[in-house]
Amino acid sequence: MKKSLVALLLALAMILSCCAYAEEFTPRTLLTNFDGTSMELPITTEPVGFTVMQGIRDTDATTMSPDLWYVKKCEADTGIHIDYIQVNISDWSTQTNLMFASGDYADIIIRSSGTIDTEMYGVDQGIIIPVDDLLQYMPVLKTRMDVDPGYYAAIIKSDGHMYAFPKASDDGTRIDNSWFINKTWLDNLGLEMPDSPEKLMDALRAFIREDANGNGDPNDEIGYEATFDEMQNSIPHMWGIGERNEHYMIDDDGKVVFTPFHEHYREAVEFMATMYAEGLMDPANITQDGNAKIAVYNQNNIGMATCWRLRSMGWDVLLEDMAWIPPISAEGCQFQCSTGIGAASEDCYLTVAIPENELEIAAKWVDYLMCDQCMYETYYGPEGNIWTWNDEGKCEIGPAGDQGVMEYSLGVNGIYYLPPFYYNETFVQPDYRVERIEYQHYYEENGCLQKNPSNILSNAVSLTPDLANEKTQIFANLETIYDQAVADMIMHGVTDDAWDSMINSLKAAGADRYVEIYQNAYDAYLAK
Amino acid sequence: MRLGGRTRYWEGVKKSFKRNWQLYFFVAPAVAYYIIFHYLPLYGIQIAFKDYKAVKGVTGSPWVGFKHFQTFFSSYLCVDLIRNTLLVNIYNLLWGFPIPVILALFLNRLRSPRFKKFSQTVIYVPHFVSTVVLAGMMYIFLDPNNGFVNAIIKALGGTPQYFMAESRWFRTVFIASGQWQNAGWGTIVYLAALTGIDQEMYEAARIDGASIMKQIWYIDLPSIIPMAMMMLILNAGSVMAGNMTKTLLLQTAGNKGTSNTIGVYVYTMGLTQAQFSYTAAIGLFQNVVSFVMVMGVNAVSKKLSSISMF
Amino acid sequence: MAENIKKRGHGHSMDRMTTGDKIFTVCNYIFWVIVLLIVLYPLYLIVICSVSDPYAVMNGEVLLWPVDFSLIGYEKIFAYKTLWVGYGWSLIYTVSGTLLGITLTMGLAYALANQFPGKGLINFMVIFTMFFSGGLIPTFLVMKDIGLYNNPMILVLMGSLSVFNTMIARTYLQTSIPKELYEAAEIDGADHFQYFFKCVLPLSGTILAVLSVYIAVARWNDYFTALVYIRDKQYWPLQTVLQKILASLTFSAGDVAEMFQDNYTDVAETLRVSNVVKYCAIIVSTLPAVVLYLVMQDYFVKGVMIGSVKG
Repeated sequence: MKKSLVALLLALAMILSCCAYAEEFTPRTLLTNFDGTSMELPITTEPVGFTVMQGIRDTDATTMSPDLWYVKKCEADTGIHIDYIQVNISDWSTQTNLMFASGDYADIIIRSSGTIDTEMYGVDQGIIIPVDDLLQYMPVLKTRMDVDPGYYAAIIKSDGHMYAFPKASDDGTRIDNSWFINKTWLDNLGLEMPDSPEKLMDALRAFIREDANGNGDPNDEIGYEATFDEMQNSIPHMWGIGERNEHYMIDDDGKVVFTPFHEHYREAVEFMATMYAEGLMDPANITQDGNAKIAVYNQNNIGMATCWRLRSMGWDVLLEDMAWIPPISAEGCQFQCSTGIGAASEDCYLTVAIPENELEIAAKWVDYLMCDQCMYETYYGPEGNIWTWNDEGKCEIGPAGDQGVMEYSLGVNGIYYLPPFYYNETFVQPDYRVERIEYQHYYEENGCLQKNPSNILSNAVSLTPDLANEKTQIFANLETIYDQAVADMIMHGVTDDAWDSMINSLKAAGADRYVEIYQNAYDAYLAK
Repeated sequence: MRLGGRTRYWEGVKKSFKRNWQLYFFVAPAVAYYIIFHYLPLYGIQIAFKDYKAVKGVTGSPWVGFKHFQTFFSSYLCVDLIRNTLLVNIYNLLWGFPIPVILALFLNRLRSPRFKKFSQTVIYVPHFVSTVVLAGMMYIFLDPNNGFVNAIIKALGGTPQYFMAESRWFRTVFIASGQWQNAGWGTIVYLAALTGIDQEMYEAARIDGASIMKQIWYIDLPSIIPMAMMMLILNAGSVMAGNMTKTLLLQTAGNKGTSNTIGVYVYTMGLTQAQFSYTAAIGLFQNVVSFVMVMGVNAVSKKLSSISMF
Repeated sequence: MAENIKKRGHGHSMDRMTTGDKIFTVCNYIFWVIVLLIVLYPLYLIVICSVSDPYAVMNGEVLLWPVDFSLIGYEKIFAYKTLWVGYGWSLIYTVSGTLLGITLTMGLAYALANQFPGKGLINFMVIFTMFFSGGLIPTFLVMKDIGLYNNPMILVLMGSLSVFNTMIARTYLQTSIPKELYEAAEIDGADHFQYFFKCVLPLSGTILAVLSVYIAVARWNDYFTALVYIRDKQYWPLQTVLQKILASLTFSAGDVAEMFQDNYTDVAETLRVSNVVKYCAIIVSTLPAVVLYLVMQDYFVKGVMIGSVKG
C-alpha cells in the first residue's frame, strides 16, 4: 500500500514537473501600462481570425509558425487566431506585388523593413484603408500618440488621413556614425587626439609610417577602414555637409542642396584622395561590403573607423584600443552630422479584406500589442528569459544580453510605439545605447546637429507617385555618375578636369531637377 | 484504268495520313504545356504599354502607349546602359562559344579513360557554384592587399592591379569568372555529339596517315558544327540580357561606369513598387532585341551551314 | 530488322602513333593538368572555406589549409529543420520533372524533325515563347486560376519543356539518326510509333543522357518557382530553403547600420555564420548532381549502343 502510494506521488510529481517545463502560457485578463492606460482581455470570445503578412529580415532566424511562443501567447491572451504569412525582406517586393495583383489581400500587413507605397495603394487605389477612425477603439495607443502629435505627423498622407499605425523605437539619439581612432597607437607614438583635419591626417601618417602597434613591423598597420558609402557619409561632415546616402542636405536657410555642388565638397574628396594616395586608408574601402569590413575590424589592427558604435555590433574587440573622437571641424566650417528627425514611421496596415464588423477587433488587436508588457515581449521574448521588470518598473535586459530572441519572438520585426519620452521611462537603455546618448550630448552642446535635418526629406516629406518615380529615375543616374567619378578621383587624384567633368555630368543628368523636386516638397511640408 | 489510279492515289493519302496523325500525338502534350504556361499569360505583354494599377488589374489599367519606352530612352545614361549590356554580353558570347568546343575536342582525345572521366566530372562541377560564392571568391582572389592574384603578379615583376575597383577590369572579371563557371558545363552537348562519330571514319583516316590534329580538324570538328551552330543561334538572344544578380554582386563604386547594365537598372527601379510597368517595358525591349538577334543569326546560319531552327 | 552492335567513339590503339601524335598527346595531358588546376583550386578552396573561420576566409588567410577549423557551418545547415524535408522534396521534384521533361521534349523534337501539316506553325509557336512572355504577375494569375497555386505539382510541371532543349534534341535527331533507317522503316510499313520506340529511342541514348542532365540540374537548382508559387513551406525544395541564407548576403550586405542596430549581436553572428554556410550549402546541394553525372557519364565515354541496320 505504502509502496504504491509513493509510486503514485512520484508519478504525480513527475507529471507536474513536466507541466512546469512545458511552455504553458496562462492567459492574462488585464494589462496595465506606465501611463495609466490598461486593456482588458480577451478581446473577443467569438471565433475571429485574421491573416497577417509579416515581414521578417533575412538575418533573423524567426519562423512564424503556430508553435512560436509569441504566436501562442497572442492567441491565448486575445482570443484571436492569426494566420501568419512570413515574407523575408529580400522577397518583399515580389510577394507584395503578387498579392496586390491577385486581389487576394492579407487582412493586415506588417512591413518590418520592407516598403509599402501608401500613396499608391492607400490614397490612390484604396486597397489599404485609413485608420484615423479606428483610433477611438485604441486607448493605449491613442493616449501615447496624443502626448506628441508632431512625432507621428509624417505618416499623415496627402489626403489628410493616416493609412498605417505608427511605429517607433527611438531612444532619442539623432546622430549618425561616430568617429573612432586607435587611442593605444596615439599613446604609443605620443600624439594627441586630433582636432582638425590636418592633425587627423598627421596622426594617420604616423600610424602608417611608424610602428604604431609595437610589434616591430612598421608596415603592417591599416589606417582608415570603412566601406565606400560609409566614407561618403562621414568625411564630408567635417566641412558641414551633413549628408547621408541620397546626396541631399538642407542648409540653415531651408534650401535643399545637392551635396556634390556644395562649396566645400571638393575639399572633402581631396581629403579622401590624399588619404588613398599616401596609403592612409585601406584600399579595399573602395570595393568591400559590410561583411568584409567587419572581418578586418575583427583583426583589431586599424587606425580609424567611422561606425555606428563599438559595442554589440560584432566588433567588440575594437573596444580594447579605439576611442571616440570629438567631432572635428575644418577651417571656417562647423562639423554637421546627418541628423535624424525623430519621427514615427508607418508599419502596420489594414486592407479592405477585413470585414466591416471586424475592424474594431483588428484595431484592438493592434492596441493589445502596444501595451508595455506586449511590446517588450515582442522585442525580447518571455518575461524572465532575457528581460525582467526591475524595481523602478522599467524593462531591464539581464547580464546575458539580448541574444536568442528569435526562438521566441519577432524582435525588431514586430509592432511597437516607443517614442523617446516613453521609451526612456519604461526601459533601461543597455550600455551600447548609453554610449551613443553620451556622444549625442556633445553634439548638441557643440552645434554639430543640423538646424534643418536632411532626413526630413526621406521620412516626413511625401511625394506623389509620379514625382517619386521621376526622382528615382534621376537619382539612379546621379548615383552612378557620382560613384564612378568620386571613386576614380579618390584613387587617381582630384584634377580640375575630373571635377568639372563630374559636375557637368551631374547637371546634365538632372541634378537641378532632383533638387527642385525636393525643394517643392519641402516647402509644401513647411507650409502645413 | 481510272479506277486503278484513284485507288493508288487514295492509298498514298491514307499512308501519309496514317503516319501524320500519330505525330500529332507526339506534339499534343507539349503544345498543351506551351498554351497553359506561356500563351495564356501572354496578355501581360500589354503591361508595358499601360500604367499598371494593381486594383484595376491588367485589363483595367489605363493605356499610356510608348511613354515608358520614351522615359527609358531619354534617360541620361540610357546609351551607357545599352552599351555596357551589349558589350559584356557580346564578349561573353565571343569567349563562351569556342572554349567549350576546344575543351570538348581535346577532352575527347585523352587516352587514359580514368583521367578522362575525372577531368570530365571536375570541369562540370563549377556550374553548381552559386553566384554569391563565385562573387565572394573573386573579391578574395583579387583583393588589393591579400589576394593571391596580385601576389603572383608582383612575384613576376608586374604592377599589382586593383581589379575590382577599376572600370576597365570589370568585363574581364565578369567573363573570366563566368567561363570558369560554365565552360565545362557547355562541353556536355559537344561530347555527346562526338560519341556519335562512326569508328570506321577514324580507321580510314589512320590508314590514310592522318595525324591526330588532322583527325580533329576533318572528323571531330565537322561533327560538332551542327550542334555548335544551334548553340550559337540559341545564345545569340542573350546580347541584351540582364545578368542581374551577378552584376550586382560584382559591382563596386569604382566600376560603375562599365558595370551599370540593364539588369542592375531594372533591379534599382523594381525596388519601388510603382515602377512595375516601367520595368515591364524595359523587359519587352530586351525581348525584342533578343528576337531580332536570334532570327538574324538563324538566317545567317541557314545560309552558311544549313542549320536552322525551322 | 537485323541488329548489329555498333561501336561508336574512337579507338585507343597506341601502336600506330606518329611522333607528331605523341607530342600532341603529351601536350594534351599538360594542357589538361593546367585546366584541372585552374578549375580545382577554387573548388578545393570552397571545401576548406566551409570548415574555416569566416573572418579568416574574408581576410584572405585561407589559402591551402583550413584556418580555425570549425564545423559551425554544417551544424547550422543541418539544424535547419526543413533542410532534410527539402532534400527529399527536391529529389521527388527532380526525378519526376526529368521524366516528364524527357518525354515531352523527345516527343516534340521527334515531331519537329519530321514533316507534317502544321509543323511550321507549331515550330514558330514554340520558338516564340523563347522571347516573349507575359511576365511574372500574369503567369501567377493564370496559375492561380487553374489551381496550381500552392500546389506542388507546379514544381514538376513548370520548366519541364524548354526551347533550348527541344532544339538540341531535334538537331541531334536530324544529324545522328541515319536517313536510311527511316526509309527502311517506311518500306517495312512501320508507323511513327513503331519507328520511334523501336529505332529512334534505342539510338538516342546519348541525347537522352544530355537531356536528363540538363533538365535534372535545372529542376534541382530552381529556387524561384517555389518561392513564388508555394506558400506552404513544408513543400519547399532544398534550394528555396537555402535561398534565405544566400539572400541575406546578397541583399543586406550593404545595408545601413541603423536598420540593424537592434538585436545586432544576433544579426552580426548570423551574417558571420552565413559567410561560412554559403560554402557548406554548395557542398550539400551539389553532391547529388555530381553523383548523377558520374552515372550518366558512361553514355558519353563509352557510347555503347544498340543500333539497327537492315540487311
